[in-house]
Amino acid sequence: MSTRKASRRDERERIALLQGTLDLLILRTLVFGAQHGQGIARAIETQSDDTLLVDHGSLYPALQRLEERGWIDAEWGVSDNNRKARFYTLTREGRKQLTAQARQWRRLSAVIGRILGPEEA
Amino acid sequence: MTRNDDDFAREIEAHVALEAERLVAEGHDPASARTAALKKFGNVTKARERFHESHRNMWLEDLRKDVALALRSMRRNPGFATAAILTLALGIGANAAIFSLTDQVLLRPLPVPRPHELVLLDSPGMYQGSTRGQQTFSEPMFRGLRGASAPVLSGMFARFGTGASVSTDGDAARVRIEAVSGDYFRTLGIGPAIGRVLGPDDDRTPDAHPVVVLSHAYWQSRFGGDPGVVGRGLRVNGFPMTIVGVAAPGFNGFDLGRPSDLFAPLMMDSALTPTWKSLNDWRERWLHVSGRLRPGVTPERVAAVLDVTYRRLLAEDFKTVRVRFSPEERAEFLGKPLEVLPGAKGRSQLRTDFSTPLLALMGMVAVVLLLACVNVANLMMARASTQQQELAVRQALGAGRFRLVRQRLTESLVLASAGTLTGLLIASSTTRLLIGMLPEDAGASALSAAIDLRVIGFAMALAVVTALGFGLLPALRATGSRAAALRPGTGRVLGGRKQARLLRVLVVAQIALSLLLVAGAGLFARSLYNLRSIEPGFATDHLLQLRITAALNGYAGPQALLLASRLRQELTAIAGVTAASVATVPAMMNGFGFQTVRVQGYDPATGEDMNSMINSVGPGYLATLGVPLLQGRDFTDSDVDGGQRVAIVNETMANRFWKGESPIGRRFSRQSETGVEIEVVGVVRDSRFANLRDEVTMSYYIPLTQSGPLNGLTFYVRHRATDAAIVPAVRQAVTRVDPRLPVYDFRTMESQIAESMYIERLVSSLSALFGLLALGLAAVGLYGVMSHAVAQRRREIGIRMALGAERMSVLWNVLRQVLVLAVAGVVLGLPAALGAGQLIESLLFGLAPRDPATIAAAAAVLIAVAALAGYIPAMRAMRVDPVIALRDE
Repeated sequence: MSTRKASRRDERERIALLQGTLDLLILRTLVFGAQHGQGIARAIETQSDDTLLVDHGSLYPALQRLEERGWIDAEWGVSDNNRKARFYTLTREGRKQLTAQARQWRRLSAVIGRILGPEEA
Repeated sequence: MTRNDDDFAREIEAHVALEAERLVAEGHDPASARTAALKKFGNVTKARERFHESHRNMWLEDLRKDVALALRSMRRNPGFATAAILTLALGIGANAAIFSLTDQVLLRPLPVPRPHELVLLDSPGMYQGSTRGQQTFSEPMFRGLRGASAPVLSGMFARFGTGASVSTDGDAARVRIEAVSGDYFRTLGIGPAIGRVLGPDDDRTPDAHPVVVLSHAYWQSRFGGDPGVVGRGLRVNGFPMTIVGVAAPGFNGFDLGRPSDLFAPLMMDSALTPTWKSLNDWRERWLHVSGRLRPGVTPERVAAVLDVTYRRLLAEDFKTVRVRFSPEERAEFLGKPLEVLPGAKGRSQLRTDFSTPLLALMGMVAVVLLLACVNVANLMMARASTQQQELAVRQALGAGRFRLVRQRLTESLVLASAGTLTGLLIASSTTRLLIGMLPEDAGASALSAAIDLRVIGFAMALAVVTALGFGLLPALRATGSRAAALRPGTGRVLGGRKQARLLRVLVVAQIALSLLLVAGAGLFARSLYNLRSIEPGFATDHLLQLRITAALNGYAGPQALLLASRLRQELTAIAGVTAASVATVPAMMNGFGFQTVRVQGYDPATGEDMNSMINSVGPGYLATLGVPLLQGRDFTDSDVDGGQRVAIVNETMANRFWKGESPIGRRFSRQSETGVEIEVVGVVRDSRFANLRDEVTMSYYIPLTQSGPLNGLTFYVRHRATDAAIVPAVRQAVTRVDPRLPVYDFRTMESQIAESMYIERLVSSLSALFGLLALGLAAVGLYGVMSHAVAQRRREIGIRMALGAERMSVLWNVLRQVLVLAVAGVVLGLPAALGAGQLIESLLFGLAPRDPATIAAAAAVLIAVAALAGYIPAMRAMRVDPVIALRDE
């Protein structure tokens, strides 16, 4: 009973990703090399110390979108545990986008941070 | 690189398997790991659907989202949406209405197959004889040209349109009939709806082909579409003819403004025009000649091929010339060119009369639309400044600028579409109103107020253009500022300066454009006023006119005179009528007859215009119209046919030939009747006759009895009662004389004069409307910009007032800005207004297109309206409470 309550609070404290940021995080994850969808989701979650919650359902449309824009490439390959999966890699254009968007994001978060001011007590 | 659904499904399957494996590795129960992985994934079907949609139509999906967003934002801000839609509806509605007329009158080709192959023939230059219309040829000339046309034209035909009196069972009605040569229907490519159309076999022997074809529209209106009409008889001008068929629907003859009810063979000319014989006469020019190009042949080639024959025909033509030509005149006659012109639209007086006014109106509505666009752009920018932060955040979150611009343009397009729909509703009723303003004989019946596909297409194109026009700049500006907008402290003043400057530029542009329309409206209004204040030279009130055609209704020769005399007696006898009379040429209907005169003792210079206007009138005509007799006498019953030929001349003619002496008893003759002396028995004051526009030319009257064959007769009734009381009595009088006689153009002289100025009235009232619209739009624009400026400067104004600024000086400060904008707009608009004036010069009367008074008045009106529009924000500025203004920030 108590564990369920705790885990529920856990869920609540995790942040649903803002629209648009998922794309940025996907690109960022792929900097470290080719990865399949589940791996990308897992990477985002672990790198954010499980603070960010990736909706696996919207992950694939996002991948699809990025692929259509030519920011990532995809091909079928075999995973570490020998399973067939679709692996995504960053394209040159994707790398450029990542740089640009990351810069914008940093500026935005700084500004928003400044507007919001220090955390209220 | 299209992926199919299976591929995507496999990927999801792989994902779920990998996730389940991970869960197991983390110690999850293997039995439920898969379920947990699936649960974490969420709705697999939904994901696949999303894949499916995005994959298929990302673009369409985005569009749907954008439209939904636009609709949502319109709902959120209904005031803005309503203002924008109404403004656009006015602009687009006015454009669609004028376009509808322009399209019907100027643009649309004849409803025949491959209309662009049709050509018209013309031969401008020297001629001798009678001519009945422009660009006409004699019948022998047509036959001759047609004989040579086969190598270049697949068909050549001649046509002549005229009025006719048609009776089926006693009741006569006036209709329009088109006399056509044998190749008319074949060349145009028009077949029968029922029965047959006319062909070469109906074009062989004069008077031997008493057959007619009905137009589809006439068949419907007169015979209710009865298929039994084929083979039935009717009387055309009293001449028995047989209906052989009905032409295909939609085709109403070759002249747009004068739709034909009936088609009859050219060979039946003597029945169609009983008072003059035109077949086989080189001296009668009456036929419009047209043809259809053979494939690959150009009009120039046709002209070149026909020219050889034309020279030979002209030489033959010249043999029958009845007057002596000088060698130069002879060379000019024989050397006149043969022109082959594009004929896809047929020919129409309506088009000639209407093209300049319609183009001027098109120009005006285009300016109105431009003004509307500027206003909506203003509105959008004012609104964008409040949305700037939202946009900047969205951009920072990764929304591409292109995507945002597209989103905003979609919103513009949604607004423009709503405006277009509303505008089309406005257009339909406006067009109906406009057509209602046209007189029947100017072709009102040929025009339709229905909104057809072409008008809808035009309006849709306008919607796209306007959406770009008013949406692109605000969209680019709104999305251009990027993260700058997020800088703390910039708050709402954001882009303030730059934006305010742009708004001002737009307002100046609006005032400049408005000046064009207001000045135009002023010029047209003054033209109409000038025209209206012209004295025609006779009293126009308490005067009725009605017209009949004698010869077309069985009154030949002396019978027509008898009819005229009887009807005149009946009309005079009506209680309240003070005088009644008759003339062959109707006043104020642009009708005239010309004759070349020779005067004893007057030697004209070479090339001197010796043409005089002529009108045949009954006794009492001058008294009925109220044209003062200055010398001599009026015609009397003793001025009979066969007696001494007499004439009453106007002052212009008297002064030209007999200046300083009495013209009474002097003699002159007509060139066409050499040797017949006409004695001047009276002189009348000059009066305008054909219309108010044209200067008085030399003219003379002859007695009806000495006029020759009579057909069209116009009666005038002068009375001292009300029109309403006299009209029924006049009708009864006509019925007493002949119950079957069709009467037409029965109206008061005042409405006849008003009708003769219909183009001026139409243009003047429409341009006034557009001018008002422009003023309104400019005022709203200026008001908006100044309100915005005052709101932004509240703090500054508050400080000034706290420091002791006078309220009046604050008011004046704002008003001064308004006046600067207004004057700047006027100064910029002046050259354009002066330039545009040149384009409408031909439509003006009695004033120059650069008329300084009118343009100065327009400028003054604009500045006054601007001051008025700026007054409210200025008052608001004056009432700023410094305490509140300073605390707010």
